[in-house]
Amino acid sequence: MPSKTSTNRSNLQGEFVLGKKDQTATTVNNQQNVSEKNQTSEQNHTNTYNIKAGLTPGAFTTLMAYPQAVNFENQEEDEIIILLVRRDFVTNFIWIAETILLALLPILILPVLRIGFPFLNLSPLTQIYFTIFYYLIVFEFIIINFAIWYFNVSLVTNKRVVDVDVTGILFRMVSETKLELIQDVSYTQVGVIRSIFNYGDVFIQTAAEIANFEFHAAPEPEKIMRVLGDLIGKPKHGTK
Amino acid sequence: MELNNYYLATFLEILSNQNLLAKLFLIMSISMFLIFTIVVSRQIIVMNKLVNEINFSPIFKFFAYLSIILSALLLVSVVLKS
Repeated sequence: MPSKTSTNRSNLQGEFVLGKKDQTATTVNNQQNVSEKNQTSEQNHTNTYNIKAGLTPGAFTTLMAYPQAVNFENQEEDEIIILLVRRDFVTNFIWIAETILLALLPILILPVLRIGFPFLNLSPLTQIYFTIFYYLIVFEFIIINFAIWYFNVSLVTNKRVVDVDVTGILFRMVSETKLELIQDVSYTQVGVIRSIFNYGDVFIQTAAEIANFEFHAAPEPEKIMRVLGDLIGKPKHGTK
Repeated sequence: MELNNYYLATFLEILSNQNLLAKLFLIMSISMFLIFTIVVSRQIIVMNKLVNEINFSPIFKFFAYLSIILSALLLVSVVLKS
């Protein structure tokens, strides 16, 4: 981690170190001391990147370093998840707003139906069934949208980057690349909303078949880029 | 001929009964929805295997199964009450 001030050094308790390369880059001389401090860091849940670390991710976690109780398909025994990244939670705003509207819709529509279609003669029980069925559809709508967000996850491990893209409940694409194949990391953060909520797209250029990896709407893209950059030991670029 | 008349009478009765028509529509819709919820649950289980967050995955599965159970219960209820 470059340019650490003396004040920051005293706060190294919260630092997590990514590998040997990074340890040499730090201003701390004693490697053993650093690793001990790393262990403490996970307990303190902070690090030099200010990313929450060492915790068990909750349902709404969007960014976490060293997440506990998380595993993925084809994970190797000695493979450690360094970063777990999801789209920023703000990106869920549209479907949450839609859900609220859908939930309120019967209250608005039913009086109109009674006035507009007086010839409709359904028993109260049938009306209840229709209402229950409608809210079941809304419930399923929530599950699907939440699942799409929840499973749209990117993982950075000590060996590779795994990107799971879920665009629909029936469509998913899983791609991965080894850390050695990463050539460049950059990010973009364009727009007012993205600047306010501090999220953006992180781009990973690789020498593999899949040329580019993208972490869409990732929270705190600068920190993700720094972590990835330190992992691969390459320069980073960012545009705002 | 009498049999044809019987079916015609039944058909006309169904057509004239809005409530029965609505229930038939509801039964077909819930049946399709039930199939859809099963597909969604299956997908959620598959995706949970892909990336498994041990603490939250069971809750997610629970909600997926809950939607199947509720749909099935609603379907049974509508069929029995019609």
